[in-house]
Amino acid sequence: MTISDSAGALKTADLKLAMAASGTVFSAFTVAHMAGNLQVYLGRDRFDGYARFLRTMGVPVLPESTVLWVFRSGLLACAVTHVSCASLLTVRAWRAGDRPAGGVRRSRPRGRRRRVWEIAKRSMRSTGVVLGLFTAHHIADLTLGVRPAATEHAKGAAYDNLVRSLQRPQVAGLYLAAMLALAAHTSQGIVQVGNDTGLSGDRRVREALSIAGRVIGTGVALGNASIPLAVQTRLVR
Amino acid sequence: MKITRTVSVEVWRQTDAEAHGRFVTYDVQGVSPETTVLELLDLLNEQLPDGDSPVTFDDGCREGSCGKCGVTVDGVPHGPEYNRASCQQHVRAFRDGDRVRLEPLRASAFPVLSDLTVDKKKALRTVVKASRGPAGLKALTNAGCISCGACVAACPNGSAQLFVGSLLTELPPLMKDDDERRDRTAQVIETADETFGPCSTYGDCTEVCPAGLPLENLSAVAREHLRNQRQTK
Ligand code: SF4
Ligand code: FES
Repeated sequence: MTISDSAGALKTADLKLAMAASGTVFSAFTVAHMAGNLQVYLGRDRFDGYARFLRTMGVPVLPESTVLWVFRSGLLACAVTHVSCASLLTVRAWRAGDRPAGGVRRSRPRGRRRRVWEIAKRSMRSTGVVLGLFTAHHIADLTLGVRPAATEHAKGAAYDNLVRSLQRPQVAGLYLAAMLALAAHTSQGIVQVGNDTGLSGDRRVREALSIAGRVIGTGVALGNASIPLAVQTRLVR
Repeated sequence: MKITRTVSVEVWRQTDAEAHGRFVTYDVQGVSPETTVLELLDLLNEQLPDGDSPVTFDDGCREGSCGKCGVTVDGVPHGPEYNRASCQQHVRAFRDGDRVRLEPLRASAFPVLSDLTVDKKKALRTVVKASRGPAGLKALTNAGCISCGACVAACPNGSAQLFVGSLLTELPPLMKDDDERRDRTAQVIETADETFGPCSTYGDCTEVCPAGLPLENLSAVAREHLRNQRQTK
């Protein structure tokens, strides 16, 4: 029984490294993005000023939004890499997993893995899909401002757009669900990075990464999640 | 006097590698909490109705050291007790004292030969062979791995990373020079890629491994792979 596929020339270890690299970029991005988001608590002027800063990075040496687009392209490349490698690896995992003859399903292990983190760590594909869909909505809503993702959208009014968007309970709910997925995905993702780069060969490094994953994952998720909650409770308006 | 009871055993019956299998339930009498999984199968075979062929299963030292045995007990390779081979798993640990489900180790790399017997040696051996020579076997011995294959069966991805990683953890010191290390570790990783799935660090393998091998061993695969790339450039 061999599980190699048409992309068999791509070694599993290399696909994993590509996922680790792009995943690390995403983790760093979520931290930076949250730091930006939290400026919403400093008021409309600060937040809009921050949005302007993102667009005018590199000006006047470079035209407006150049640096921003460099970042965006990098993130897009990471997204394409992450999703395509994940798809290839998923196919390999399913082929090698088990498919007993006769249509009998593998019995579920009884009495194992009931803790929350245990469930989170085997939900990378579903949490990944949630994050992908959420990001698509998020960009359509707050970056592009297109319907139906966005309702009223004024160009350049980042603060008002954000607040108006999160005043919609469905959007706030989606945001909170996405943050749960983010916490789960990041916590296991960082463990996986350690394993796929060989760093986790040292027990202390492995344990440190496992804690770091949970701290970063839940930290970013909580920081971000506070915003829809603050908008819904009218602390931010 | 020993207190015994009757346990209803749902067991996988499959006449040969090509046949479609199914679960058949038998009542087995005279079972005590200390009865092991393999002893339970012995009792079952003694009590089979006339005309039924005995349930085949992999058997060996019954001391937890040869790695030959291995069945899936209630969905868990080897059985519910952590880090013990099937021959060291006791009825007292069953989730439900009256009922148990026994099936072969499940993985694409381990075809079922009949009933509970699987061919796990072949797939595991291709990896050891890729390390060429007795060094691979020596490395496994040094790691403490008994080549039982439970890690592969426990993994939802059918990955053998614990087995391969343990081999790669112990292989480098046995190599005579760096060229040999590079060459053989690369062969091992490539062979494993062809037969087994990718590792998602779920850690189910370390729960079942009778040798109690640690999660750290998983990383040896990436470490050697990266090392090889650095040096071939
Ligand atoms: S690593 Fe552990 S579970 Fe896997 S084959 Fe070796 S002894 Fe068995
Ligand atoms: S029979 Fe030898 S390890 Fe179980």
